[in-house]
Amino acid sequence: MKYLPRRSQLLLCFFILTLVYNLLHVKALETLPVYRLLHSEQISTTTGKTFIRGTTSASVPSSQTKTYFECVANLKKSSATLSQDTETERETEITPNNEQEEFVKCFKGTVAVFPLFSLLEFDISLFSEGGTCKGILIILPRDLLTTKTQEFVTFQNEEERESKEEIIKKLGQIESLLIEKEFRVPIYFINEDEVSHLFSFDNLNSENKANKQGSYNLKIVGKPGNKKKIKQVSSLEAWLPTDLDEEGKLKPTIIITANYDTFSISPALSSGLESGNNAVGVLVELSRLFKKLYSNPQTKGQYNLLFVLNSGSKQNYLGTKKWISSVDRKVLESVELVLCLDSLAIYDDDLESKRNNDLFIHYSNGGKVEVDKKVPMKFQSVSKLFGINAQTVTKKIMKNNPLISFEHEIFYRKKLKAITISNFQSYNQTIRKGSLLDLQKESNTNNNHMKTITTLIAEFLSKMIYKPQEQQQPIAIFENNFEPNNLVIQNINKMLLKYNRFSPFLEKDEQFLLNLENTFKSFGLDTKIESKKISLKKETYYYSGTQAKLTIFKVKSLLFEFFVFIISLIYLAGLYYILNGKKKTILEIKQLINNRKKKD
Amino acid sequence: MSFFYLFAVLAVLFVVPFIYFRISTKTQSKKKTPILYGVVAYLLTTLSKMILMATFLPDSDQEEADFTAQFEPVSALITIVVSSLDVLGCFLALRACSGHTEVKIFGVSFAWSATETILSFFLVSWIGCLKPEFNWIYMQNALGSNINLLRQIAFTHIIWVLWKGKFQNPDKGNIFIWLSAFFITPELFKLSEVLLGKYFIFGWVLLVIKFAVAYQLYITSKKYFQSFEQLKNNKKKN
Repeated sequence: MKYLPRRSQLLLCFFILTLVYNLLHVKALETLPVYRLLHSEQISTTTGKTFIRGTTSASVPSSQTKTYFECVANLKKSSATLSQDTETERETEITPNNEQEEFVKCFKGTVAVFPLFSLLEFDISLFSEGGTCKGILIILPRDLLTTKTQEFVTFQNEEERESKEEIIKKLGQIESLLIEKEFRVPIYFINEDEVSHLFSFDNLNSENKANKQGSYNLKIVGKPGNKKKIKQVSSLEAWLPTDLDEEGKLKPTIIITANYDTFSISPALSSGLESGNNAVGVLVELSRLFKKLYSNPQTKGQYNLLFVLNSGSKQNYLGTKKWISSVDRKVLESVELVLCLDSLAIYDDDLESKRNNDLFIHYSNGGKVEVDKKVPMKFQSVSKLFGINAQTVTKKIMKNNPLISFEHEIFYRKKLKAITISNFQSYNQTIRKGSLLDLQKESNTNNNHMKTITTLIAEFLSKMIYKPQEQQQPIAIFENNFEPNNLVIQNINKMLLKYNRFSPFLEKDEQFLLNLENTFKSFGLDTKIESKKISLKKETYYYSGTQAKLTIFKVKSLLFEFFVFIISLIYLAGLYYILNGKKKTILEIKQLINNRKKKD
Repeated sequence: MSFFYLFAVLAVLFVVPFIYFRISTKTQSKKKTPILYGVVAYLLTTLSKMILMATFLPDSDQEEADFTAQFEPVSALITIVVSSLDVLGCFLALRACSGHTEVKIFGVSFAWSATETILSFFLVSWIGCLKPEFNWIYMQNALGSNINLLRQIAFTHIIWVLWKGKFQNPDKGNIFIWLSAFFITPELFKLSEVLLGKYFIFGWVLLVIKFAVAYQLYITSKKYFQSFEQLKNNKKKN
C-alpha cells in the first residue's frame, strides 16, 4: 500500500471502508406485528357437531416467500411456452382448472404473499387445505378506500374495469369466505407500510411489477390462543331527566342509542368506526348539548332523554336485546320514541355513488306498532335544511326471522316506536357488517360533515321535544354557544380508534368504556355501566392469540458467506502476524515453502 | 445455507486461543498442569457462581424480555459481587500449579478462556450458524470471546501481582481499582446496550469499545506485572 501514490491510497481506504460499512450494515433480522385471521368454533345444538371457521394454525415455520406476481408471471411464461408447443406435441388445453392447480403448486413450501386486492383474482379457498403452502400473508394497502383499484390487472380479463363499489362488494364476499371456511394454513394480515421496503406493489401492473425479488425468509411465532365466548355485554347509560309530572310520574322519554363494538375478520384489526361506531361521538356530543339546554329552566324540555351505548351489535344486537329486557318498566312505559344511530357517514371521496351525504331513515311498519309517519317526514324536512338527502326505508318484520337488520327492530318487537338513522341503505353492505376496509384513519375524518350530522340530529330532537309551531324553519338553537363542538366528536373518534372493539373479547372494565363514562359524567349526566351475563343456546367460541410477531430476514447467498469466511481468515492471519512479529512470521513462511520444495 | 459462516465463526472462536497457545509455548516449556488446573478452577468457580446467583438473584417481573427492562441495578450489583469469586478461583489455580511464572499465568488464562468459549459459545454458535437466517451476533460473540481471552490474560496477571506482592505492593490501591474494573465493565456494557438500543451498527461499535477497554486493562496489568518482576529481581540482586 505504501508504494501506491497518496491519492490511490486514500481511494483504496475509502473503498475498503465503504465495503466494510455495506457489509456490516445489512439488516439481517426484522420483527413486525402481524394480525391473524379469526378462528372460531360453532357447536350445533341439534347435532353437537363443531363447525370450525377461519384459520386453525398459528405458527409459520421459517420459509421462503413467494408473491402473487411471481407466480402469475411464472404461469404466464409456462402458458406462453405451452402455446408454442401446441403445434408440435401437446394436445392438452390450458383450462382454468389447470392454471389454478399450477398457481397453487407454485406456492408449495413457501409463504404466499398476496396484496389484498389480488384476492379478487383467484379463489382463496384453493389454499384451505394444509400443505398447499406454509402460510399466507395478506398485505393491506395503505389507503384501503382510496387505492386505485381500477388499474389492477385482473387474472382473467385484463380489459375489464369495475367500479369501486363492486370491488368492495366482492372483497366483502371474500372476507365472508375467509371466516366461513376452515383454513388449515395460517393466514395473517400486515400493513403495507411495514413491508413497503420488502414487497412493493405500487405499480399493480403485473408486467411492470416493482416487486423486490430477494430470498426472504419469514417466520411467525403465533400462539393458538384461548377459547373465548361472549360471556357478558356491557351497556353504558347516561340519563338526562326532566321534571316529573303533576302526578309524580315520569314524563315521556326519548331514547338515543348507538353501538360501540365492531367486527373484523381479524379481531386485532377491529378498531374501525364506519360499521356503526362513528355515531358514538355524535351521541356524546348530543348529550352535552342537551345537558346544556336542560340546565337552563327556560330551555328545559318536557322529555327525559336516555343516551345508551351498547355492545354485541355484530352478534345480532345481543347487547341491545339484553339491555331492553332489563330496563325499568316505568321507563319503558314512558318511551315515546327510540332514535337508533347507525353508521352516519362514510369518508370516501372516491365513491362513485356519492353516498357519503345521504342518510336513510329505517323504520318498520305493520303489526301492532305503527311509527307515526310524521316522524320520518320530520327528519327528512330537517335534513333538507342542512342539504342532506334523507330517504325512508321501510321493512316488514317477520316474527319467525330472528335476524335483526337494524337496531330499531328490537324496540319494535317490544312494541316501542323506533327509527334507525344510517348511511347504509341495506343491512348487509360490506363495510356495515364489519370489514377490513373499515380501518378509518384519523386523517380521513370529515369533521365538518359530522358536525353537520350532529346539528341535524340535534335539530330533529329539539323539534320533537319543543314542538315549535313553525316546523319548516330551523329552531336556531344550535349555533354560537350551542354549536356542536368538533373537538368532542374528533376526540371520541380518536380514542375509539386506539382500541380493538371485537365484542367477544371485550371485558366489563374496558378502558374506552370507562373513558366514555367519565366523559358523560364530566357533562353532568347521571351515568352507569351495566354488565349483563350472556348464555346463548348456540355456542360460538373465538380464539384469542390474534396478534403475532413476524420475523423477516434475508437469506444470505453462498458468495456472501464465503466472503465472510475469507475475511475471518484474513483476520486470523493478521492477528498471527501481529502477535508473532513480522520477522518470525516471514521466517516461518519461508521455512514452510522450503519444506514443500524439498518434498517435491 | 452453507457451512462457511459456521466455519468462520468456529475459526474465530478457537483459532485465536490456539495462536496464543502456539506463540506462548514456543519459548516456554510445555507444561500441561496449569491448563488442567485452569479448567477445573473455571468449572468449579462457574458452578459456585451459578448456585449463588440462583440463590440471591431476584426473579424478573417481566414476562417477556422487555428491552428497557433488561438492566436491573440490584441484579447488576449482585452479579458484580458474585463475579468476584473469579478472583478466588484464579488464585487457587495459580497456587496449585507449579512451574515458571509465565507458564502458569499463560496456562491458567488460556484454559479459563478456552473453557468459557466451549461452554458458552460453541453450542450456541453451532446451532445459530446453521440456521437459514443470517445473524451477525454469532460473529460478534466469537470476536467477543477473543476479547475475553485478552481480558482473562490481564486478569490473571493482576491476580498474580496481588498474590505474590502479598499486598505489600505500593501500588496496591490502584491495583484494586483496576481489579474492580474487571467486574464493573461487563455490567456497564450491558447498561449501554440497553440505553443506546441494539442498533445494528452499535453492536460492532460496542465490540470496538470492549476491545479498547480490554486492551487498556491488559496494558495496565502487564505494566504492574513487569514493575513487580523488576522489583523482585532487584531484591534478589540485593
